[in-house]
Amino acid sequence: MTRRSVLSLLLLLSALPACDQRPAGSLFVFAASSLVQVFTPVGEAFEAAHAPTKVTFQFAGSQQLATQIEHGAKADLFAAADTSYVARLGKQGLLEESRIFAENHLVLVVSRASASTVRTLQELPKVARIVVGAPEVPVGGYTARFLEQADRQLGQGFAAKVREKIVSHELNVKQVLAKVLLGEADAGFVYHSDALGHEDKLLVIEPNEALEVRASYPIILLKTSKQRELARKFMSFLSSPVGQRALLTSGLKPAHDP
Amino acid sequence: MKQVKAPGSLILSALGWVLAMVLALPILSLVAQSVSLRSAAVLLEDQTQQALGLSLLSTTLGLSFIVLFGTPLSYVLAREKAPWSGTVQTLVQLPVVLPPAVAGVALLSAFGQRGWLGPVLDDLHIHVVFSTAAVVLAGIFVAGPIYVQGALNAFAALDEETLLVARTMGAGPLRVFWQIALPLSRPALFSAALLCTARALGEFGATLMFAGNLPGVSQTLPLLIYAAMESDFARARALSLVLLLLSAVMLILSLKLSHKWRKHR
Repeated sequence: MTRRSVLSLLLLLSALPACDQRPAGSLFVFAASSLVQVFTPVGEAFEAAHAPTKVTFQFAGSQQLATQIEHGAKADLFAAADTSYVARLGKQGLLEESRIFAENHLVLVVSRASASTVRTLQELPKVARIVVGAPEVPVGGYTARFLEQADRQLGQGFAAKVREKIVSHELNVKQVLAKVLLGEADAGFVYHSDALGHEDKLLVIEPNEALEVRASYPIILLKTSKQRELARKFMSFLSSPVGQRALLTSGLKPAHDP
Repeated sequence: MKQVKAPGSLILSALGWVLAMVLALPILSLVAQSVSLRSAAVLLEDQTQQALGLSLLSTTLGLSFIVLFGTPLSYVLAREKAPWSGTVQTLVQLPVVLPPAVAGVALLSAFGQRGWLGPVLDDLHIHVVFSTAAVVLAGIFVAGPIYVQGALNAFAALDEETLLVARTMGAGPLRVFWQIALPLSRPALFSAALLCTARALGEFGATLMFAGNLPGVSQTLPLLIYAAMESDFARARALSLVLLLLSAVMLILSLKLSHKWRKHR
């Protein structure tokens, strides 16, 4: 009895590595969490156009994904929310090729309850609780840059006044959005695409052109990929009409090829 | 008959070692890969000390609350078989098995702006979310059950006769609790408190959701480790080592005390 159960356990364990041996025609894509709404339909369209291809996504913070890749996670493509990962993975010898496929920009979201207090960016310091991304994650870096620019344009210690009201450095952009949607925070900085579809619960304040902070999304083909042909097809699929439409409907701007 | 068959015990040990290795290997690798001069330097950074200080403060506050109210609760649950005690026991034990995200959402549903107590707290101008109080509450929520379980076991194991003799000699319930039940259960209670402290120190998920992440206010050591992982993996590892050492010390003490209690019982 015991021996049989031990044997079956061993068999089960030895079968586990097989999960990693994906059949040819299967693509494994790591993508920043802000890309959930874009890649889900793009993946489905790609599968339909290249049957019997199977595309599997893993969505998480860019940092987390980059760390996993550096520790040997076997992905074919990595779509990050910040261009710094291109250089970072390049330094590790993991980069085959990359290009920018989309752009996003930072917006201010204000909870319904505070929408009467804050109608413009200048009024932001009036609220009690602001949440931002942590400096360690892309959205936090963009927010810091935004505050510096706004400080120069608006003056009167705008950035310092805003920083005084920051109550949390959230570890990804969806957490920033969630805290404002829940009404726990009065305002926060997220990407334009994150705010899309929540206009009934949030006031979205778009910064003027001079203040716009753009986030570029690179898609990176990894050296470890054994599906380079298919991966390249997915990369170009992003700039196909279907891909571009998916980008636009989810609030991203397709990047123009250089 | 008395002698254990050698092959049988060998099989048993071999089986046991499989799990022991799976559990120990990640810990040992973490230690092996993180011990360096640099990890010592990380300890001296302001951010580390701030997070460590906040962790120790919030855990101490949480533990005080848990022991103060959890000891009578466990005593009542263990000694007085009321019809509702089963339900209460399940309810107070539940947080320990909840996934961190559920614990966070549950805390928000109770103490958040739109939570049950939200309007009341708002009238009192108390804002719990994003505060150190939220860190303490999250710790109480996830670690409290561990103390209650340990204390409950200790009180349930008390010798019925000893308590009965005390009662017949005229000791009131409070006196029996204070002068007999507590001293007899002391090592077990300390052991449970240490285990619960270790859990509270490591609390991460519910804290992140409920208290946020701000240095000096809500950024405890586990949150700093997670944030560091986003930028500098080596630093995250060095910080993990600190937490690992603290927890190991508490666990060792807890096991020692629990052993002592079992022997003297």
